[in-house]
Amino acid sequence: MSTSIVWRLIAKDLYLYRWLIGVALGVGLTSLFIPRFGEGPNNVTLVLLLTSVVALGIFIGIYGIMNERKEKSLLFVLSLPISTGQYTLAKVAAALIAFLIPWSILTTTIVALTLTFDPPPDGMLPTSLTMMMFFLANFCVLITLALIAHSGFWAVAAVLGTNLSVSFYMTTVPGLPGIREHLAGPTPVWSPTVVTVLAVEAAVITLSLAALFFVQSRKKDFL
Amino acid sequence: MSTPAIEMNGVRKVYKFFALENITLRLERGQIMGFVGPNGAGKTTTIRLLLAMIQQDAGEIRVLGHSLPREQARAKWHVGFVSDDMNLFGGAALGWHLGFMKSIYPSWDDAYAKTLLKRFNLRAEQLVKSLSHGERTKAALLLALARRPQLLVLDEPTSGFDPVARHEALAELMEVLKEDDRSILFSSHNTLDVEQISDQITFIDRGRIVDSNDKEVFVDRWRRLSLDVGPQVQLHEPPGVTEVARSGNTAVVTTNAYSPELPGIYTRAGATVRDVRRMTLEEIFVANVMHNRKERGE
Repeated sequence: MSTSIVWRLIAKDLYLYRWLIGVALGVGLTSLFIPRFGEGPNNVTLVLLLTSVVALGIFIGIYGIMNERKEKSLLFVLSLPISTGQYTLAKVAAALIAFLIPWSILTTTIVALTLTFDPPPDGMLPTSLTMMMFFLANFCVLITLALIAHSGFWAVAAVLGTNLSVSFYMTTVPGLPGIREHLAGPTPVWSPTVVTVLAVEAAVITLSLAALFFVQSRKKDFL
Repeated sequence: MSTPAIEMNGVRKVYKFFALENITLRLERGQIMGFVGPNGAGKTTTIRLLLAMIQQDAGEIRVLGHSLPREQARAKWHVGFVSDDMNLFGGAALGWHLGFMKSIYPSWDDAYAKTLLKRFNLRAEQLVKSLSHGERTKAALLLALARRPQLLVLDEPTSGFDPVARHEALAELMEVLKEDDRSILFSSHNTLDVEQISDQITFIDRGRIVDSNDKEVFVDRWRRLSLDVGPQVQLHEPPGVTEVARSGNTAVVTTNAYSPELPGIYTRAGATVRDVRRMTLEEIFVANVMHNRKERGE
C-alpha cells in the first residue's frame, strides 16, 4: 500500500507544481517560436528559454522542497504512512517529472525546429542539446542540495551556486574548440568535445542523484 | 493481552545543546496520556521520535506493536498526528486535502469528515493559506480524526485555539475515545486541558521523564498542608515531603505521598494544621518538576 502512497505524493506535488509547469512550458515554447515571426537570430529566444528552464528549476527547489520544510508541511507529509526513504523517492520523482515534462517538450521542439528551419543552422544542434542537458544536470544538483540541506543558508547557497554555473556554462562551453567552429555549419558535428561535455553532464546527473539517495538513507533526522 | 499503543524503553536522543535521556513510556490501548512539560522539556522531540521523523540514538520504540524506525510506514497507517506548528499545503484548498487523505486511507470516514467540517466551522473550498492559525490546526485535527486512527498523537494541539475552539476540540477528542481501542498521547503545557481529558499523566522536564502515573494517583498522592508554627518548632521532612516553605509563623508543606498520618506528625512536632488540600494538576506539575530538579542538583 505504501507504493501507492508514493504515487499519490508524486501526484500531489505535480498538482501543486501545475502552474509552474504550465508557465515554464508556455514561456519556453513562445521563446522558441519568436524567431519564426522575425528576421535572423533573436537573443530574446535564448534569454526567455534560459529564464523559463532555470526559473522552473529554482521554483521547484524553493517552492516545492525548501518551503515544505520551512512552512512545516513536511511534518504533515512525514506523518503519512511512508518511510523516510519513500518520502525522498516521491519528492525526487515528482521534481524530476515536473522538470522533465517541459524540458523534454522544449528539447524535442528545439531539435525539430533546428532540423526543419534554416536558420538556425543544423550545426547548432549539438550545442543546443548540451545546453539542455546542462539545465537538467543543474536541476539535479539543485534538488540534491535542496533536499540534503537543513538550513536556509545552504539552500540559498545552492540556488546561487547553480545560477552562477549557468553564466559560467554559457560563457565557456559554446566557445570550446570542437564546438565553436561547427556552430554555423550546415550539419551537426558530434565532436569529441561535444561527447565529453554530454558525458560529464550525464555523470553529474547520475552522481548527484546517487549522492542524494545515499545521504538521505543515512540521515537520522528529517526535520 | 493487546500490545500497548506506545512503548518506549531507554530511549536516548542527543543534540548539541539538548538530550533526551532514558525515556521509558508506556501507553495502553484505549487510554489518554497527557504529556506535560515546560517549553523545551523534550515533548516535541519525543513525539517526533514516535513518528520516526527523527531517529533515536539508543533504546527501543514500538508504536502499535511496530518497531521504529524500521516499521514506521506500517505503524503510521494507524496513527493520526496533529501539531501546533504543522501546516497543510497553503496553495491547496481544504477540500483537496480531504480528497488526498481519502485517497490514502481506506478507513476514511466521509460522513464524519463532513460533521467535523461543520462543527469546526470550516469550508472545504477555503484555501489553507487563507485560514487562521487556529483554523489550520482545526483542519489538521479534522484530517487526523476522520481517518479513525487507532492512536492519535497530538503535540500542543490546542495552543492556538480560543476558549470555545479549545472546548470543541477537547469534546471531540473525548468522543473519539468512546471507541474502545483508540488511544491518545496529548502533549501540552496547559495542565487544564490535560486534566480534562487524560487518564494518565507523564511529566517531562529537561529531557527526562520526571513522573508517570494515573491521573487519580497524582491527585490522591499530592497534598499541600498549611501549618501555623511557632519559632521553636522544628519541621522535619518525612519521606514523601518534597518541600517545606516556611515564612514567619506559617509553613506550607508539599508531599507526593500523602497519608492520613502526616498531619499528626506535624501536630506532634508542635505545629497546628490549618488546612490539608488537594493540589491542582498545575501545582502538582510545578512541584514535581522543581522537586526533581532539586534532587538532581540542577
